[in-house]
Amino acid sequence: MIEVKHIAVRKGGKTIISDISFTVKPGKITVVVGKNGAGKSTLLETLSGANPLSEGEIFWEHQPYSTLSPQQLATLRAVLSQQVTLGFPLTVNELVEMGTYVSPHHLSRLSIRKFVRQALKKVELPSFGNRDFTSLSGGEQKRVLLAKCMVQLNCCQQPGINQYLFLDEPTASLDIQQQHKLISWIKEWAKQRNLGIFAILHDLNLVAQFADEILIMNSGRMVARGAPEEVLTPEILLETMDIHALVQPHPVFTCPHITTLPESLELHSQ
Amino acid sequence: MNSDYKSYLLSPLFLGVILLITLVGALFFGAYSMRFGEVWTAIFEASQDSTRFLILNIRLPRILLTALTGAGLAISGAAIQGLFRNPLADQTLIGVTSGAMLFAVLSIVLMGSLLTAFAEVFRQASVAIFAFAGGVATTYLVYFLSRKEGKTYVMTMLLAGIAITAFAGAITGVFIYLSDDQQLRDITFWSMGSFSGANWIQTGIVAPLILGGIFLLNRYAKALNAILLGEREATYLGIPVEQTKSRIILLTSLIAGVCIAMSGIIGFVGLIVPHLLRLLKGTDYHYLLKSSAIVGAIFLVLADTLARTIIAPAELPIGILTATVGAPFFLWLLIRSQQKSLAI
Amino acid sequence: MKYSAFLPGRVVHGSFCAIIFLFSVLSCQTEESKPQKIENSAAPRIISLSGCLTETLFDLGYGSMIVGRDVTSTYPEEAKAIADLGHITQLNTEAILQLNPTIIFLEEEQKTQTQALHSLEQAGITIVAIPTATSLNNALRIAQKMKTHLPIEEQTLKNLKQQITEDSLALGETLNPFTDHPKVLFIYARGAGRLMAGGKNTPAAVIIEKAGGINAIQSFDNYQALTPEALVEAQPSVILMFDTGLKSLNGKTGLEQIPGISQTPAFQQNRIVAMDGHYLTSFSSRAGKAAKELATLIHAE
Repeated sequence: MIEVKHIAVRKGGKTIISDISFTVKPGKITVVVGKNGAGKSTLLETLSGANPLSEGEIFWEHQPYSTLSPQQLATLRAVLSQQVTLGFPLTVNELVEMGTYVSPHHLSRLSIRKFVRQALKKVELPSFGNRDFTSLSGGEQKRVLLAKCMVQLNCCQQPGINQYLFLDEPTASLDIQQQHKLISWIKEWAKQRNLGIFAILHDLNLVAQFADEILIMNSGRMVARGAPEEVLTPEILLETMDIHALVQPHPVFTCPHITTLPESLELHSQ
Repeated sequence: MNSDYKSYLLSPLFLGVILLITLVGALFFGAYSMRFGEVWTAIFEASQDSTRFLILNIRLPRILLTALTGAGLAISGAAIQGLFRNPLADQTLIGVTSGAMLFAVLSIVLMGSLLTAFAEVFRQASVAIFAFAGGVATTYLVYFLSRKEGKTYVMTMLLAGIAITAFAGAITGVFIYLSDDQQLRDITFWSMGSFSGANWIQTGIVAPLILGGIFLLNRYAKALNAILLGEREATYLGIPVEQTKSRIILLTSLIAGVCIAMSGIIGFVGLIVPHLLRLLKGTDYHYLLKSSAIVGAIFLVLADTLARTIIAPAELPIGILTATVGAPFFLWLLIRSQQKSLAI
Repeated sequence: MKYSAFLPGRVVHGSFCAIIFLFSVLSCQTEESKPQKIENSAAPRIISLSGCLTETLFDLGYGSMIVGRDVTSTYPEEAKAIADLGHITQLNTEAILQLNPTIIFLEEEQKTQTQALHSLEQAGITIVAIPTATSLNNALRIAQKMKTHLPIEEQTLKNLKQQITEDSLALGETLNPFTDHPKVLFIYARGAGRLMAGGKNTPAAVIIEKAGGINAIQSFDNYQALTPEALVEAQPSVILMFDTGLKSLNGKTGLEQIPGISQTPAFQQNRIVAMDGHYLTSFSSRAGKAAKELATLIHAE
């Protein structure tokens, strides 16, 4: 379990996020939503260990975050970034293989290949190993990066130790079919491995289906937290995200279904 | 079909064999002509004649010094390109070349008269010592300027490098302006590079530094690969990015500083050798660092073999050769590749 | 792999062929040009790394024993036929050993410029650094120094001394009728756009004074870039240049382009003197003759 306790991050004298507390539990999916500039990305980076804390503390399984080295941290969590720009062209194999860099043990060439092959098979790109990463489509690149995260967590899996996966807008720039595919792989993998997931997402309906717990952020603060049906209400959405929305039960699933509306429409007229 | 054949030819082991052949081959060529048998006899039979002296005390240390310099320049170029994620980068970028140039010129112009009281060996060494110190100190200045709150910003470093290079260039210009004719000629030749004074002392000083540097740089292959994805991604992969950056900068400035101090400015090796290998085989730094060192050594030994024979009994500054041979070859490769992402 | 697809094995293959080709070309070259090695005999095999020293060696009758020279050794004409070893800062150690010299002469001032000397000394070659001076009897002092290393006959030295003395006397006679001391500005053109004015204590200034002139610039030593202010301030009545320097400026028309030069009396009265650089400033045995020639040129009319 990751416990975030009253953290704040300041950069160049400016407070980006402040007084944020929540937990990410193994096997559960925690999603953060909010307007652009609300501090979601900073929160994810901070949780990933890329930003120093100005206040508060994060505990990884009761161990203070500040006592963990980057190497230790890398064995506990993987991060699926929104976008990766390469300095020089790399092949898919070379990129996915980097997941094994976190392994504290020396891995043989053979076992590295095995990890890479397994992961590429999982994201349904088994024959892409020798392709140039920069020549791939946005969706394919995202899948390759997910494969890298899989290799990273798989190669240092230890019984009894919980691992986490952080996702920064994983569905951005993907088509609908790809979005669902990616989400379902992640869900399946998380369930199978009891991974704790922390994600930034924009599509509220995807959030409603995907999340166990939702955090809503606004201006660097956490303004709402709870299960989808608790948080995704017209009142909270209007108050925290300036969204006029119609919330109905989902026709297929048990989660809420949100229809966003233009500002001009008066809700109470219905 | 030829993919296997090629990767075999480009494997570090095979390249190493080619280097060995090149080193031994180069031993047979020089302005002093001798038959193959004579070279053989000179090396393996303890005769006392001048051929033996020439092979063992002039040709051999020079070939080794050239190989070490080529390896050092190429590997530091490869590391800098990776660190800055910039195909245009080489050691020039971090200020080591311009700093070394400035201090070498300073030593030639100012110290010539100041050091007359000292022994000749020291006067000759002063250019090398100054160049080395200047190169490393300038790199440190560039590095220092681009640090803020414990982080090094490579973009700032890139710009600071350009600014400091221009600044050092201007001061160099002032000293060139003040130089007399003889000093100017010294400076000109120094800036074109040469191994004409190579001896065992130089080779002995350079060998442990460059070999050690190559060994240490090789350990950063993973980190350099990860940094290709961006610094943040590298952090996510458990790479201590800040520490890595400062160590790579330190190592490359030391290696390049030593190379420049001993032989003057030899351009193009640090830029084109890593690119050549990247075009032929790919970007993986596990491969790129090792083979850049080997191919850099091969390239410079061949270039120097030409430099010392082509216009014998005089000799050509090697910097001229590396540029005249290197630039067209590189262009040819670039045009053949027609690779947009590498069209710089 | 994508990046290799466009570069088939033959590129790699080609590179290796190139290496082999290179070596074979080089080997042909060295085999064909292989000269006969001459074993050490009584006659010295000399390498001279200075124009002035080369000239003096010819004066002393050792010209035919010079087997190698530096790029500045261009006088007398026979010297040009000797193997040119390039500039002193970039000596090819092996090429020097190939010439199998017994002794190498160079100017003391240039000793620190070349790193190759150490190895050559180790190879058992005598290296003699000779101090030079800007004086009319410079050649004689060089010759005396050389005498400790070469079997130069006393008579040869005497002849040289006599010749230098005669030249000095002739110079004195030439100067006798002149009462004025014209201000002479030496302009040293070293490459396009790089014009230097000769200050005090330069060889050019010394020869100007020997020729009865005054060096127009007294405010600095060595050479400094020529500025219009310096030109006007110097007010030279004669401008002196190396003939190669004047040629590099396209003669007098090029000279006119230099800002400030048309304001000088020298230019207005067309008093531009050009002489051979080596003859004028190397202070060889011909220094007296050069000074005399210069004296007549700067005191013209």
